[in-house]
Amino acid sequence: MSRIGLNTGLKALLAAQYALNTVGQNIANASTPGYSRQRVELAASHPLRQRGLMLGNGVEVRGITRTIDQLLERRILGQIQVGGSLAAQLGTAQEIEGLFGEPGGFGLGGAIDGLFAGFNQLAGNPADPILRTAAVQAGVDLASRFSQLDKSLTNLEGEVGRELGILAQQVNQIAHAVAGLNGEISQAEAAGLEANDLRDQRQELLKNLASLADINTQEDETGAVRVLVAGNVLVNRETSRTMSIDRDPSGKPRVAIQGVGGFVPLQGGRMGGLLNLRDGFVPGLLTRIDGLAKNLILAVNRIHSQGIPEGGPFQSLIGTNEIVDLDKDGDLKDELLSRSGLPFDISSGDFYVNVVESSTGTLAKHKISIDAAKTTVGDLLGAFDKIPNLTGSLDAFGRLQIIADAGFGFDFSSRVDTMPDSKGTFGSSKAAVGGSLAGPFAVQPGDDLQLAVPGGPGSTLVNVAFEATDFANPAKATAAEVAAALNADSGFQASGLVAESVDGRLFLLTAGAGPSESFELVGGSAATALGLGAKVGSTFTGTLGAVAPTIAGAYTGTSTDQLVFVPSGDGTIGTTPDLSVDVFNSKGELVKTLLVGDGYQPGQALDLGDGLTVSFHLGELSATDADRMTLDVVGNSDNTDTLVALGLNGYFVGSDAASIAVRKDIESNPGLLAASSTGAEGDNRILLSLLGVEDLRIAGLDGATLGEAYGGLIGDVGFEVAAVASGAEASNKVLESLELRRESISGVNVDEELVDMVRFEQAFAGASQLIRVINELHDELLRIL
Amino acid sequence: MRVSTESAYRRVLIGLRTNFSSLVRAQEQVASGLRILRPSDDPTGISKVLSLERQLSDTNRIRSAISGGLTFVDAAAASLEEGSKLIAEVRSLVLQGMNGTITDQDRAALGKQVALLRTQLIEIANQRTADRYLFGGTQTTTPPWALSSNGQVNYQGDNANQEIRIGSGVTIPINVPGLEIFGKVEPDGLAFAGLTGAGAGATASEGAGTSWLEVRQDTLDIGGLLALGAAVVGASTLIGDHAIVIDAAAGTIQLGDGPVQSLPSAGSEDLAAFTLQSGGGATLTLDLTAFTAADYTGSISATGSVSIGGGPFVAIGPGDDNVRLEDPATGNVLHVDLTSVERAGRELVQFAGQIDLFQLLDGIAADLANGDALNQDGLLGRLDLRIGELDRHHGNLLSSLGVLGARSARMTNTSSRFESVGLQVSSLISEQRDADYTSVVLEMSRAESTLQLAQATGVRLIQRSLLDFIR
Repeated sequence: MSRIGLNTGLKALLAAQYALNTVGQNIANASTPGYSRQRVELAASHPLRQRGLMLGNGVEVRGITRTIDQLLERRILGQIQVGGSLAAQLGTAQEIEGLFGEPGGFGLGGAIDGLFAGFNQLAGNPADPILRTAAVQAGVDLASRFSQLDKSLTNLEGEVGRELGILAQQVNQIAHAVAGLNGEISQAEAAGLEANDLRDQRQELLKNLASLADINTQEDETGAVRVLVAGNVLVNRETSRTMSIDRDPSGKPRVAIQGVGGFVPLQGGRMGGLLNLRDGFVPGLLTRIDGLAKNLILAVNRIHSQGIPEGGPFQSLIGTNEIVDLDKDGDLKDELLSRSGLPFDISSGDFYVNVVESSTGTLAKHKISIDAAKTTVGDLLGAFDKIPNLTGSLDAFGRLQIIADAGFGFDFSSRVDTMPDSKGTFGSSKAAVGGSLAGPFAVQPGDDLQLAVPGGPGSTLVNVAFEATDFANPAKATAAEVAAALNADSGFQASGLVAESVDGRLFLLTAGAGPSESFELVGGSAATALGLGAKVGSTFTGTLGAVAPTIAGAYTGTSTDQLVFVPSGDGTIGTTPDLSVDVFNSKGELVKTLLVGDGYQPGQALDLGDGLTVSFHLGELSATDADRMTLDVVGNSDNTDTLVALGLNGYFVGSDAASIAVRKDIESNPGLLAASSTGAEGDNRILLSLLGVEDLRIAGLDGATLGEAYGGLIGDVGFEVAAVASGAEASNKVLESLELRRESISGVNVDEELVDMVRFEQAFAGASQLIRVINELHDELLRIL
Repeated sequence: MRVSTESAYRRVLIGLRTNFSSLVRAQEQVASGLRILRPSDDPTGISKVLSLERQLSDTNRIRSAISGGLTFVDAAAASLEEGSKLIAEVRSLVLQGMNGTITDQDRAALGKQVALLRTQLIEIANQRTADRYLFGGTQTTTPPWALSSNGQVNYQGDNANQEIRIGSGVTIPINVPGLEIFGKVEPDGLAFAGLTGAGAGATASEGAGTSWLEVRQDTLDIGGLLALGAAVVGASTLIGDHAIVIDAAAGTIQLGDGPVQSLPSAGSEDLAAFTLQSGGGATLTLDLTAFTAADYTGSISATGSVSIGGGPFVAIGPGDDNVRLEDPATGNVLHVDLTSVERAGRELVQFAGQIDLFQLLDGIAADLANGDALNQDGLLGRLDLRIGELDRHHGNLLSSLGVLGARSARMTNTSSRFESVGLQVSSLISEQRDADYTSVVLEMSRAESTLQLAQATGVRLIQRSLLDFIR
């Protein structure tokens, strides 16, 4: 009997002790992160059957359990991953936002504004050397801002790589610890015990891991947790794999797990967040910044390449961009121009080169046609060589070099030829006759042309026969080919005659001028085919005065065209009534009729339209002799972008944010800034066009202006950062509320524990009192003995 | 809901943190004066701010361009006003020179004064601001009017305009090229200022400025007068065939369609040198001492030749109504009708091409000096022509002055318009970007008081526990 009571008491004491211990554990760990409060499970012991009675047998501790909600823990793990990713992105995104320096005007926007401010100031007085230096410096500042921004963003990529390495190490430490705990827990629970504190520890480690990477956890039957990272096993029972940062073929650091082929695509946790930023946001920014730089270079250089620097037309010029031997055959000349490694695209069209004779200022405009599908580098060099007084070649680096002969200069401006009748086919004082129709002509090899030139006692007969080798296709001989064939004939040359091709028609002229020059078209089998049939037997004589049409003004039109001048009849300028000159465009439409007969004062300027005037001098025009003249008016001297692609006379060099810079020789000699479109030192037309770039809607920026594209970029950076910030805040709030819920289930309330402590203290006191009483009863009994 | 001790602490902490960061944010705005400190503070706002800032800087740029351009335009206008005064002075000098009572020396002195004024005008045409020449077109670093060795000036500038940008796609020129101001005037047509009788031929002439046409007599044949005992004395200026009619009874002689003159009576001194005059003013001086008056109807023929600009002489033939002459010095080409030429002498031919003011003044000075010893009528006629030209040039200069004035006004207006636009844009920017102090300070004091309350209540919450009461 006494044993029973004693037993009960003892059990009660023990139970109270365990309970108090648990209370103590809870109180001690009230602030331990991840601790779930433990509860003692008390149950009445199995009753004893004695003497027909069911006697209570005291209390026993069935177990000490954690109060925990597994589902909630899983949700918390998931939210930690999201929060970790956003937190990592927010930090870096704010850093990126700071790089742009807006608002504040010290960013790219301010520098772009500074460039246009520099051009604007210089436009006020293009000859001022201080303003020139300032304009060049503004460009240098802009280029350095671009490259700083590019460098900072690229550096960020490197920083991310480094941080990934550190985080991977942390992951490995935690994974190792989790594996260790897995072993301990499996051991402990195999013996049938609940490893509460160990599980709490492991859960806390898993939370740390979740903040680093996106993980998935599965508990197996031994109590060990299998941890998967992006579907790949990281921890299995007591083994953990190592996570490392390796470089992929492009050199970018990526996450790898030992034993898993390829790279692991992390989406969550800090690592996932950093990877997201590095592989998505940052490259997107770099692409947009590169786009700004490239389009700026393109727009500025397109205009600047058609300008003339302070020293006048160029004597020599080297492009800044290299032609690359893409087919690796050691020869650069066979590369297709539009696919030769140049940083900008070349399209089909024409560009114009002016060759100026320095002493007289005479300008000759030459056209080079580009077919993007056919023109090779060699073709281009050949086209430059065909231009008189100019040679084109490639230097050792594959850059195009153009050199003018001594006494000549060249440029690419759109200024007009002021004396378009350089050949003398429009009422000049030379003896001249022109064909009545334009080529191509059907010439038979062996056809000839017979002319007679007075000289010596009588006249010299000149007979020029055409050969098949003179023409690419004799049935379709061009006037240029016929003229070249005639000029190559020694007899023709010796007789003082010159052949020219104007507007596709053949012209025959004397080299000299004046009334003493004359020749007769005797005949020849080619005469009719060449449009000279009606003139056979006529003699042509030079005159005293030359019409010498002079063009003045600057072309303000935007289209590029060839105007043809044709007199309406025969007569003398300023004298013959109703004499006029018809001007046609290349489509054959009549553009203007100029009245140059009686009532016109020779030398007076007549309006030709689009900012140009033409004046005719005292001379004779003849429609019967087929007088004719052409004038190239150029709105855009290069609609192919060849000049920009080759880097000829550009303001900027480079093609993206990392490489943009002001051309080195402009930086050291601001006089090379090509501000003028006419060569005059006070002309600022190029600068005014450059100012227009600010308002230009650029196709490469989806029709936005430079400023709009930049504003959009800053706005998007702001949106991204704001979105990440609000996402992080929202995620934090969700996590906070989950944690609070967890706390309400598994958290320790010290007051509760204190109440329990009082309870179990009393229970202990009660139990010890019971034992004392039973002991006393025992003693009582013994005293009886 | 069951609240654990830990969560109680946590909530107090969160509350404190949140309030503190609100306070910090408000203080940030106050300290910087900005509502948008970084793009993420207001992404749409910052795009707007950037676009407005671009507009503002464009406005400022235009104003600075205008300010620079105005200095240039105003300097040019001031110079032209000076020039106008000088031209008015020249005009009054010419009028003085046309006064009938003035002596040759005084007139020559006037000519010298005109030459001085010309030099001053050249200086004005070559005027410059600190860094460039005003009237050279876009040739701004070399003087536009260059003095050549023979005292003439040539225009070395060009006729292009230097423009400045005063709006998107809008430009305005700030200069007027020198040739337009001082040399654009085209007289009404070929003009002959002289008395030889030469006129314009059928074919057009081309040239600029003036050329001297000289007609000289080559041979003189007085025909039957010789037989009557007349002899030629001295130089005569007769050209062409003219009739001679002597009426012995009336004692008169008439040369061509000139005045009927009375023959001097025998014994008078005039007999030795009697001057006959033709209708065109040509003269023929005869010695009639041995003359016997008798009715006579015959003709006198004289041949002549013509040269231009000191070049070779070309004989005047009958029916020469379209002779081409080229001035070797200036390249002017003249087609001249010589059929009415009856008097030798010099003819000033004025071409209808561009002439500049300086050539004109040079000519005026020369005319006043009267090196050709023209008579009063001839001189008056020539000076009259000059006044006309002077007035045309003056009008041209005044119209250039007007153009400059109009541009100056337009630029000033544009600048003040942009000034007010700039102010508007500035205030828009401020609206978007700057902190509204009132609301921010309110926000700040609210956050501050909230923080204090949170701190006070938080402390009270976490300080309490059962331990206080367990003995």
